[in-house]
Amino acid sequence: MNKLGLYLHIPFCMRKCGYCDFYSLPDPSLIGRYVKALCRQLRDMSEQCKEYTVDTVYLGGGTPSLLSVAQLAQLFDTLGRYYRLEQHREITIEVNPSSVSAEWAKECYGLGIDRVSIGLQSMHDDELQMLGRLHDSAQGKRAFEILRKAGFERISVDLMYALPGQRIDRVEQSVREILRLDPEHISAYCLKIEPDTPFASARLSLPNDDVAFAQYARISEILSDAGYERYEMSNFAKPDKHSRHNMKYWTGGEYLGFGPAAYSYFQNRRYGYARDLRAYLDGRCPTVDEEQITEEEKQRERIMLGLRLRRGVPRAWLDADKLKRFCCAGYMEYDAERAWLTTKGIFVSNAIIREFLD
Amino acid sequence: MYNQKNIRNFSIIAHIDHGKSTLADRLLEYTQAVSKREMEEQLLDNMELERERGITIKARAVRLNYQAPDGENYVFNLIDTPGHVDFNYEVSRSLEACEGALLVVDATQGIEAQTLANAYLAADSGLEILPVINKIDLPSADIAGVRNEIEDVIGIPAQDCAAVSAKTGLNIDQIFQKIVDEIPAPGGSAAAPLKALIFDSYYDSYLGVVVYVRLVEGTLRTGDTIRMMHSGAQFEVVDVGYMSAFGLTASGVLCAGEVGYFTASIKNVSDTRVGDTVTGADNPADTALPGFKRALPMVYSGIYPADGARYGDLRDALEKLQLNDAALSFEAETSAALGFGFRCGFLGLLHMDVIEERLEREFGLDLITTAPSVIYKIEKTDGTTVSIDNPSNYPSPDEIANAFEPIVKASIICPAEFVGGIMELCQDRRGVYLDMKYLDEKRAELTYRLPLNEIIYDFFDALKSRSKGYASFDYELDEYGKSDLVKLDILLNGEQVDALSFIVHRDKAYPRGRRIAEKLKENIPRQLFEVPIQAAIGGKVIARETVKALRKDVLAKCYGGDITRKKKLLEKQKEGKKKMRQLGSVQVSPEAFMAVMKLDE
Repeated sequence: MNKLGLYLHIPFCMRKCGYCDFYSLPDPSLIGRYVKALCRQLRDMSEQCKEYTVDTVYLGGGTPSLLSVAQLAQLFDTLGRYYRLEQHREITIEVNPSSVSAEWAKECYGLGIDRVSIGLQSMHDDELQMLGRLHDSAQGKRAFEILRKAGFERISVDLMYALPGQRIDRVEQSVREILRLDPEHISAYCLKIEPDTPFASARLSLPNDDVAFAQYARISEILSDAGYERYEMSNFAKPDKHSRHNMKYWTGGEYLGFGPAAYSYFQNRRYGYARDLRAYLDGRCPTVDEEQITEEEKQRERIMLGLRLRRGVPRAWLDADKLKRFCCAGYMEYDAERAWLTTKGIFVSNAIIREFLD
Repeated sequence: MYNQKNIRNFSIIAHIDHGKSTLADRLLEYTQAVSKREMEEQLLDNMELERERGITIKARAVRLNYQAPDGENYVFNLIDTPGHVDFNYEVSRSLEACEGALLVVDATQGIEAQTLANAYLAADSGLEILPVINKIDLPSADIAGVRNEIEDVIGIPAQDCAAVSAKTGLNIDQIFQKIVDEIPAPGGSAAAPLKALIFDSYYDSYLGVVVYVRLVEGTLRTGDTIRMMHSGAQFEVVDVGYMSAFGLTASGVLCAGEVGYFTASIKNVSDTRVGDTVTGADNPADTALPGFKRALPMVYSGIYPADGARYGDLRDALEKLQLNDAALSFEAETSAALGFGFRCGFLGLLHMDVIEERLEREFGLDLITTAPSVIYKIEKTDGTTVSIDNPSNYPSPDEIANAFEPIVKASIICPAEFVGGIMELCQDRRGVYLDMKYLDEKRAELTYRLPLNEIIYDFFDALKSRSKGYASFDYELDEYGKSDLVKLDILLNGEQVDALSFIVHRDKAYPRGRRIAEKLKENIPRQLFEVPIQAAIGGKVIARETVKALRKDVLAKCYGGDITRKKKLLEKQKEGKKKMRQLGSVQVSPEAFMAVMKLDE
């Protein structure tokens, strides 16, 4: 049986953060209708998934934690009815620290959700405010403890660095605070200014490239010392605690996305749904960026995505001269079988990947 | 119909923006050659580019019929002239076709450098000059002041000259009476052997070359066999006529004193050089009209397609432009950095600008151009002399006995308060002071001898910025002067980049080398490996910079939709890479290359 990941996009937020370009609308009143539409699409697509077992489910957003327990139960009811869920599975939900109660957390856990990803982003109140987050650091810690108490044994924390004006010691403090919570998984993202977001027009003074790199190197070092492996360039996990769902993105695994702005990679076809909630609620989901992935293209993707991973790619896939030059410059390392990027190499990985794909 | 004493042939001359084209429009409208509604703005300038820049690049001519208040009918031939120093020779030929000139002076600006240059050209051609003060509708117009200035500076009476607003049409009728009264009718005998002056020509894909002529002597008829006295080419005339406001109007005959056109299935404008004399093949004139010169390029530059695959398109485009522009020269050139392109010769900077813009606009080409160069003359140690218009061909220092560079005589008119700054600029550009005259208490005319290669980089811009845009500038080639020249090379990653080499005075080599190295550093994007930049003269490094290695180029988040975005980005970068130019082992975008070429202060 082939394995399949499911991604359910929940495009609602109480408030949009200034840096965010994910598709979400600040109108939670539509959630009820939306869950119905999601269930309908899950049902409609299930016919095509007869040959698959689902081993990962990921509820992302937006803010999936805006869904009530009843709404979540409705989704899982549909999932259970139309899809073959594996015994050994991973079901993740993204949680906003400002919208989590003990009761909700407990019942979520009871529904079979076994992994949460919580968007703490920083442990400094001024930074959280600047980012437009609804929580402060105390609330963040409290949310984490609630989730832990509810029974979750796999909690991932999001952290952002290279914030406007940020100095390296501030990032370090956030990392150490997060370590005190002892999460199983940490995602550390360099702030990227996306076009058409409030941050794009705000003329922020971002740390220069050297400072951003120093922060990344320091975060990597501290987390490595604390027993976390950087299994992907922005993702750190305790042994065996990596995100199985996310690994599908980087290893060519198949997944189906549901909801506007969700992307799928299924039976050699990659496509997304338009960022149009209204159409989706009306039962239409126009596809965008549709492409058939040829064998040749697949190999290019394997290199592009594989070089994000700690384990890298087989050496044989890469041009030997270029590899040697990059190793001499300290961008890469290799052993008899495989080659991978160093910390320094990761931070210029676009340029390196470009070279190998030429 | 042909009544020589009622013909008036004249030009309008002016400094740029003083309203020449607007006045031409008004004259057309008042003679009802064109009704106001039908009239396209500025009919005489019919190239898109000309209209946009507000300058006339190629001369045009038009015939106007004027009925004087006394009932007498006159034929006016208005010959438009290019208003820029690069086209001085063409201007002089257009003026040669006239008996008079309207000298338009802006009532708010007064006399400018090109006003003077054009007035002198008109006087040299023996024309009757009628000053016209324009823009009197503007609040800052100083009519009396400008009248005095014209008398003091140019030395022609102006107390009762026409003062008009070409824009509103105010007082335009004054001009007509003055044209009738003061500009002499042409002379010449219709029975004499044919002598016609070519003052312009253009290529038309149906008619072949259309030649604009002024008949000085004799008669030209359809079917005549004619000969160009300088080029020797012989043709049979297919069509003869004049230019109405709406286009060519066949008349079958032109007589002494008239202005018109002919066609003769001529394939190439190089057979119809401006200034050549047309005569009859059977009954030729003894002597050609004086003043013919072959237009010689003064400025050279390498022109390359930004996309190497469009080399053929660039060649076709240059060939098409050359059909209409005998002064444009080009030959194939290959650069290690830029690939296949052309070494092009131009009359001057404006000519170069115009050609480049037309290539980009009319032919949709993206261009890379190398730094402009002048023609250097080198006396070699073996006794031979060579002319160098391309730094790549510059002899090695031990082969050079003496080097010479072109020197121009430049006239700059500016408000008195900027004189200091401009003198500094000229000094800085190795200028030699010749003279300074005050035109009035507020404005001065500076005369300098300047090396042409100091002007072709960014002199205009520097002049503008130092005078807040008030200085005007004009120059003419004076002579070749002995000079201490060196070839400056640029090395990236230790490899010489041919397209960046240039010839420069030794005293300027160091600052310019530094500046180029800095510019390269600013414009070469960081790469995975650091890039040393060096400027060197004959192997000796005089300036050095380093492009530091790339530090950050990463996509931190890469989930479902990001994969598609990332792949699209990679595709886009791949497309962009095709356009990249290999400067040594470094890849540079055409935009970055052009930014380096722009050596502003």
